[in-house]
Amino acid sequence: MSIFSNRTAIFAAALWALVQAPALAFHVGLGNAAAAQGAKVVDKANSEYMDVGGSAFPALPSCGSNMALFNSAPVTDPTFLSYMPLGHVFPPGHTFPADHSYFNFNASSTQLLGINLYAPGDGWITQVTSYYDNVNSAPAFYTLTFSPCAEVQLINLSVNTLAPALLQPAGPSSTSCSSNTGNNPGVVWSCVTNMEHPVTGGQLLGTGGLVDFGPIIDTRFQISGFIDPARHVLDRGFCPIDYFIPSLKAAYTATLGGNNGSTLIIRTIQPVCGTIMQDLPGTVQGDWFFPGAPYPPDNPHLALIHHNVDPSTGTFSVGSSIPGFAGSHDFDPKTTADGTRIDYDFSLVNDNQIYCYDTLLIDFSNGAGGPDPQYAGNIVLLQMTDPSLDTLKIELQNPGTPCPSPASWAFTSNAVTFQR
Amino acid sequence: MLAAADTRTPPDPSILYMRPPGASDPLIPSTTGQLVVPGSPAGPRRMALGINDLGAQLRLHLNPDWAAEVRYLRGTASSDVGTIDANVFGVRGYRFFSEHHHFQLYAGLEAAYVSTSIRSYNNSNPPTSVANVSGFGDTSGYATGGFGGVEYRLGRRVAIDLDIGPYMIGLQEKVTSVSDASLDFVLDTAINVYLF
Repeated sequence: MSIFSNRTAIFAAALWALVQAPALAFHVGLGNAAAAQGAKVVDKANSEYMDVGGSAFPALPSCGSNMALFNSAPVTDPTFLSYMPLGHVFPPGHTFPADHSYFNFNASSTQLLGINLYAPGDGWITQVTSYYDNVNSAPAFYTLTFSPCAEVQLINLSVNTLAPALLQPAGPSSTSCSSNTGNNPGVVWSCVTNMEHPVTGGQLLGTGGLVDFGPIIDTRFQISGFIDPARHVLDRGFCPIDYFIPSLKAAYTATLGGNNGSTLIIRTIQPVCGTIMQDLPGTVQGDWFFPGAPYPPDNPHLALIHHNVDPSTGTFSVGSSIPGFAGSHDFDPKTTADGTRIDYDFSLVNDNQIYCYDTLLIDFSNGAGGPDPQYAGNIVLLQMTDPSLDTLKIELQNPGTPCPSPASWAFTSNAVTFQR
Repeated sequence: MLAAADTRTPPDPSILYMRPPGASDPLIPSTTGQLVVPGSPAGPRRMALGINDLGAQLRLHLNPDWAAEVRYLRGTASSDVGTIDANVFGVRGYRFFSEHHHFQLYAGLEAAYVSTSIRSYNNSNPPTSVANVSGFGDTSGYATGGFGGVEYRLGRRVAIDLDIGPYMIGLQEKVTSVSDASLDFVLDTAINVYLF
């Protein structure tokens, strides 16, 4: 081939390339072109698959903006009374307001064993965790994750026995076992099975052992208002009642509260479904973290909040870091500052002075409990010690009397410091 | 049928030289030896070591017209889940054409093994993203294509290459087995040092 014809051929090819190039991707360097193709494949895989407990499964359909994702009652047993508002505390495991609701029953322990749990909507069971008290015996109980669509998960649904259909899930599944106990007392072994088993609303999921309803994880939203958002999981802890169809939502909303036996104690203060975010900037109200301790777990930390059933009540939710002071303790707060700095609502504590609390009450998750005799004569002193109000000093003292005059309020070496 | 052997006397060699019509003297080359293209510096042409787009290459000329090359390239791109790094191990075959005024056109084919991985993840990946699955994001596959370009001789040993061509790149993600192939146009450049 002559040089002329060679040149012509190459120029023709180059011209063709230039004409075609706008319609195709163009890259400088084959390495960059390969990386771009790798990015394309990764993005495609990311859109077609999702993480289900550490394994890749085909992605569920998007929820879009749909909130009415639960179309069926998860519990139909006549002993069911209500759902608990978010924000229940039970230190040290739930020192911070709980990010889930609970099923409230008026049932004997025997009756509880026979209560069925049904799928709250059409969707998929994506994970079943089996917990064993003895490695060689049948699981003691199970927890389930239900997803009505890609962005929403209802996790930690517990049952004692699993519906037969879930023992042999449809489609691919993967199981891994370990000594992870999930902080469940008595558990020595657990097995996590990831799956995408389709269920329809009202389908039996299991029986007995129903406790938690939620948490709800919804990646479409973020919980706002935390003083330090980086400390919290912001897409977890939404009200599960908000995900029911309107008729069920209205019925359940009317019963949100606690119960004392058959007596329902309705929450009347908005939001009636409660909230896990009670931080109030510039005040002592909200979550406080023990310096250097990890979160989760809740155990070493502190929450100065309002009760999830009766928010007019103040609650000290104390983990394991304050000497002599642990658990959940309520008090009747003053809602206006009267100059005494005694028993002020946490929202009124907004400076660097010392405040005092006395007359701690028995936690009344299930009804008013009255003064707590275990803490008679005890007082709690607290003070935000820095100008930015991000450091809290707190101490339980036992003067044997209610809060004495402020002039005598002073911390000892037992005082503990927390941070926002 | 076979012809009988030619026993005639051989012709005068001088009449075998070409000559213009009417000329009496034969055309005899005035010089002999290697053909030299005017303006082209003589230099080694056998093996070249080069630096290309984020990589390196080694070229071996089989003869003045044909060459083979092995090369390694790296690359980077952004994806929804993070930054992607690529490694390319390729083999090229070249056909070189005549050199004129330091320029030499060439064309060729390439086949390459490609692997990519996620170097860094975006913080915005949701908890349910498959990007959270261990091992997700590693891909492997091929790149193959043709190219045409030009090499410009800067001196006796140094030359720069510029070529462009269509490449088909096909990759498969290892955790999900999701794959995709597409046709891209690729512009490649290199600086070569001819060793000998």
